[in-house]
Amino acid sequence: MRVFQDIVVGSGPGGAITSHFLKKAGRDVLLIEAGSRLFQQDTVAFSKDEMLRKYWNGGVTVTLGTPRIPFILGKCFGGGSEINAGIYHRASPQVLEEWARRFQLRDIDAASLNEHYEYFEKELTVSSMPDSLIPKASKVLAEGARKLNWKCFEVPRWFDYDKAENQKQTMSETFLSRNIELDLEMVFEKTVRKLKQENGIWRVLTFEGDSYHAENIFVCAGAVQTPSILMRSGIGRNVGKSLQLHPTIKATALFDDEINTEGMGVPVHQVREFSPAISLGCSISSLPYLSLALSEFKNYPTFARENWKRMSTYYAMIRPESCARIINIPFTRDPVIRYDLSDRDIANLLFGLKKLCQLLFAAGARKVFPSLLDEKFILDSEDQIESKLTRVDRKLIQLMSIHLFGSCPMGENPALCATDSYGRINDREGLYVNDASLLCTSLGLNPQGTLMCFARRNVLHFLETRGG
Amino acid sequence: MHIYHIFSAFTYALGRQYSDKKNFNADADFVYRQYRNLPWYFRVVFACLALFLDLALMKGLVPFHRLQLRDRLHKVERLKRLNLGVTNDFLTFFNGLTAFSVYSGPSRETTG
Repeated sequence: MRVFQDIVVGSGPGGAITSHFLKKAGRDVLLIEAGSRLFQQDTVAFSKDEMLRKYWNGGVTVTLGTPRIPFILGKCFGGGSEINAGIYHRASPQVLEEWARRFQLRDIDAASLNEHYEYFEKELTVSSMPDSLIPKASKVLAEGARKLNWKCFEVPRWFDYDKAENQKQTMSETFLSRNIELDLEMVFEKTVRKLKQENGIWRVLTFEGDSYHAENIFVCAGAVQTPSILMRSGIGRNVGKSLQLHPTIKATALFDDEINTEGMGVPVHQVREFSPAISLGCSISSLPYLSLALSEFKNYPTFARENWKRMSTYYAMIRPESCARIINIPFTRDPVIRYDLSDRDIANLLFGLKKLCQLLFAAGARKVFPSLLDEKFILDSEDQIESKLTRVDRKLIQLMSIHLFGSCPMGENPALCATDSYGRINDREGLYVNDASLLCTSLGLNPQGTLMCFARRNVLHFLETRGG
Repeated sequence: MHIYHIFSAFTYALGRQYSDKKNFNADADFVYRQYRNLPWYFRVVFACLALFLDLALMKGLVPFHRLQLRDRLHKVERLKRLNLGVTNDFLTFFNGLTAFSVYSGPSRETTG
């Protein structure tokens, strides 16, 4: 029986970085990935292929509750980093202060985290888009914000704009490619079912019937699968009870001028006038996505096809107070996610939607289609916003989310935390979590930058204290 | 009878509003593959609904999936007007994926 020093479960940002630093330190490491060995160029971004081959459950699964929220997770080499827009943020000092106070999270002073943030900003070429490449759909949002005197920023991304193709610095392009050069052992299309500890050695059992052994296990399978694996393994304290996501409501706008082009990708401006509670920004607006956005308006079946060059989709995303709960079902790999948005969260979403519509009309929109399941909500002018969007039945609200995290919070507060301040599962020698599950609360922003920062911090701490 | 045939029948009926093309096979394949991607507890619900609607939308003794396209379009329109919660979810799922697929380029995988 071969016993690895370390097994890393999951090759998303958490797992890619964890396995990289472990392997670089000369350790005997195995990486287990549930998805396929696909690279960025193997599918077209935001396409049918990508949905089928790189998304968990094809991207069509939803939370239970009212409204139901479709959510998107990566299931491929590189995980979520392969399918997101590559938007980068640092956590705000206020959020980190809250984590230190409520969760008693140790050693998160700005100076020590700064080193990790700077490392990734350099390694992943986090940079702003050259002005000549910024899409018009992005510029109109900035123009609307300027007219309203609202704060608006161009968000940096982990893109290498000097490269003609494959600009996005995903994990498969960066840390996982380096892992291949380091001869890291990897297995694909194996979904971990359970972890067992026998005589100080961890045994990893998969749904496919395989088993692997190691002294240490790093569970980096994402904010849904990580707690699900832990719960199936009998580890339940503060696990899976505090899953956070960023509920997002969209609105598609029609303008006089052409603002959309083929292959536009995701525009880069965000309006932060109401942050951290609410952020407004640009969404993917290819013809298939515009058609999907308008598919519930039965009198507009070909509207997107006829007008797509003058249309773009935007979003309002909230930092909610509600938490979701992960519920495992015996003998199955897909847990149920129960998520009931509070009335306050619903009110915030509608407030955000109204502000988004106001912004779009200020930017010159002629018509706005909010993602509400009735044509009566379609807006032809700013004057209609208050009358049409003030009282909306929550059943008619169509939401989505792409950011999931916080299901195994880290820190020293035993009432709230599943791990210690560095991701070690309490009372389980050799078992660690090192992915988005650790993030204590919502950032109100894309969490990948902060998740990578903590993944590096935690694995370096492990190497210094236990595995050097 | 395979559940695929019912899904294909719905995809053809819903796809007509987005395009006048004759062949929606690629779209039906996409919708069916996405159904297969759902967690099993959603798959069971969708399969039961599909079987139920195949019979509930019969014309004479002909089940929905074997009706002429014109009759299927008529039945789907009536179903939409009923505005029932659970069938609305079913149609929203099909309608969204069909719209997305019709306006997407051909799948790299299915075209080799």
